[in-house]
Amino acid sequence: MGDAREDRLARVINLYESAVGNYLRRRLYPLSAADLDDLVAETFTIVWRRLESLPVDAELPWIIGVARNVLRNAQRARRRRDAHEGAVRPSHSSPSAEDVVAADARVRDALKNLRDDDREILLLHEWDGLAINDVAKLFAITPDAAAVRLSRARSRFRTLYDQRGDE
Amino acid sequence: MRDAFEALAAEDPAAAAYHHGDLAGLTARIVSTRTRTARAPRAFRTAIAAVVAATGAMTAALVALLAAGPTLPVLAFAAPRPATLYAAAKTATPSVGTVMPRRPLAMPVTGALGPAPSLAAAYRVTLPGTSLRVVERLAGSLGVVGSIGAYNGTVFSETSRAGARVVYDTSSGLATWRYQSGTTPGLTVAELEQAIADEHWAYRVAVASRGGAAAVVVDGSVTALRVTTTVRRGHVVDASGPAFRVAASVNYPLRSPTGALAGLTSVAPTRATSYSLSWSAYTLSDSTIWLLPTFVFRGRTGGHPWTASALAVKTASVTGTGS
Repeated sequence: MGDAREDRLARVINLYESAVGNYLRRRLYPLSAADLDDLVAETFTIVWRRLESLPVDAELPWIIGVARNVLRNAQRARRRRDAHEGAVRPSHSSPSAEDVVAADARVRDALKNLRDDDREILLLHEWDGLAINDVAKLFAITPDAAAVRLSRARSRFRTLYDQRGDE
Repeated sequence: MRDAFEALAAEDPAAAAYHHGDLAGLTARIVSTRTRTARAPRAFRTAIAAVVAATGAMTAALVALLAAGPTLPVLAFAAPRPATLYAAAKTATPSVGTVMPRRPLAMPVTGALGPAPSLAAAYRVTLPGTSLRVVERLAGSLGVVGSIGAYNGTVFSETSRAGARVVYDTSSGLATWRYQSGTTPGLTVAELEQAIADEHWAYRVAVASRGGAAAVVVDGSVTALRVTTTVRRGHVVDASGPAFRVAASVNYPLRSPTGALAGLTSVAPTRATSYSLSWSAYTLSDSTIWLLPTFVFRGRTGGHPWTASALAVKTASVTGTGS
C-alpha cells in the first residue's frame, strides 16, 4: 500500500515537476527565483498528503490547482511582510507580475489591462500549454465554456496588443 | 512585425524549462514527512482517546505507572502504530541501501533474543527557538548571508546572492534544516560539523569526508535520525538534518525484545537473528515530540535481509499504541 503511494508520487513528480516549476516561475513575483524549489516542494508535499484525491484523468490540472494555491499563500505572506516593512521604509511603487515577467512593453501593457480571469486562462493556455480540457478541469467548467472563455481572452489580448502598437 | 501571440510566447519567462536539481532527494524528503513521526489525524486521536477512556486502559496504565514511580509520565500515543513488518521497518530505518521486504513475512519466532537493559532514556525534544532566529543564526554559522523568505509560517529560508541557501522547516513534527552551497565553493566537512556544534542542538554527528548519512547521537544514544550530506571535491554542496533541543530526559523501563518482536509480528510471526537499541522520533497525543528507545530487529529470509522496529518502552508506560 505504502509502496504504491510512493511509486505514484515518484511518477507524478517525474512527470510534472517541470510543468509545476515553470507554472510557478511565470508567476513568481514578488517572490524570487531562490524561492522556486521550496514552492515546488510545498506543492508536491500537498499532493503527497492528498494523493488519494488526485484524479487519474486530470493529474496536471489538479496539481496546477495545488501550485496555484501554494503560490497565492506564499505571495500573500510576502506582501504582508513587505507591507509591514514598508511602514518603516520609504515606499516604492510596486510593479505587477506582468511588469516583471514581460519585457516587451506591448505585451506587458496588454496583459496588465486584461481582466484577471482572462489573463489567467490565456497564460495557462499560451504559456503553460494546458489544453482546453485541462483548463476546463482546473476551473471545474465544461470544455465548451473553457473554449469560449479562452477565445474571448485571446481576442481581448489581441485587441489590446494591437491598440498599443497603433499609439 | 510580430503577431500578438508570437510576442506573448517570446516573453514567456519560463522559456528555459525548469528542472529541480535533486528529484530523488525531493521525493525522499516528501515521503519522509509521513514516516519521520507517527501521528494520526485529530479526529482519530479523539476517537482513540475516547476508546481508551471507555475501556479503562488508561486506568490500568496509571496503576502500573504508579508502581514504576511517581514522576514517570505515561507516553500517550495518538493511535495504534502499524504492526506490519514493512511499515515498522520503514519508520525506524529510512537509510538507503537496506533491503526490506515489501510485504509482511510469515516466519516463526524461535528462541530468546537475549537480555535488554532494564532502563533507557527517553528524550523530549523541542524546537531550537523561534524560526526566524534559528534560520538567522544557522545562516550565520553556515556562512550564508542574504535575504530571508518565509512561507506558510513553517518553512523559512535565507539565500545569499551567490545562491547559497539555508532552509529551516517546521512543517512536520521534528524540525529540519538544509544547506545548499549554490555557486559558492561550499563548506568543508569540518566546517559543517563545527556549524552544527555551534547551534547547541544537543546532538553531535560525525560526517564522513565523502558525505552520506551520519547518525545523530544524543547524550551517547545513537538515534535513527540522520544528517545527510553530499560532498564534492572536499566541499559540502548539500546537507540536511534534524534541528532540536532536548527539553527533558526520563528513564523508562524496557520490555523484553522477544516480547516486543512477538507483539510486532502477531500477524506475521518473525524470526530475528539480532537486535539493537535505537532512538526514533514520535509525536504523542499531546503534540510533544520524543525520541523514544526502540528495538531494531534484523533477520534474513529467503536470502533477503530485513529490519523491523518496535517501541522498547514497557507497555505499562504506554497508551494508545498497538506495538
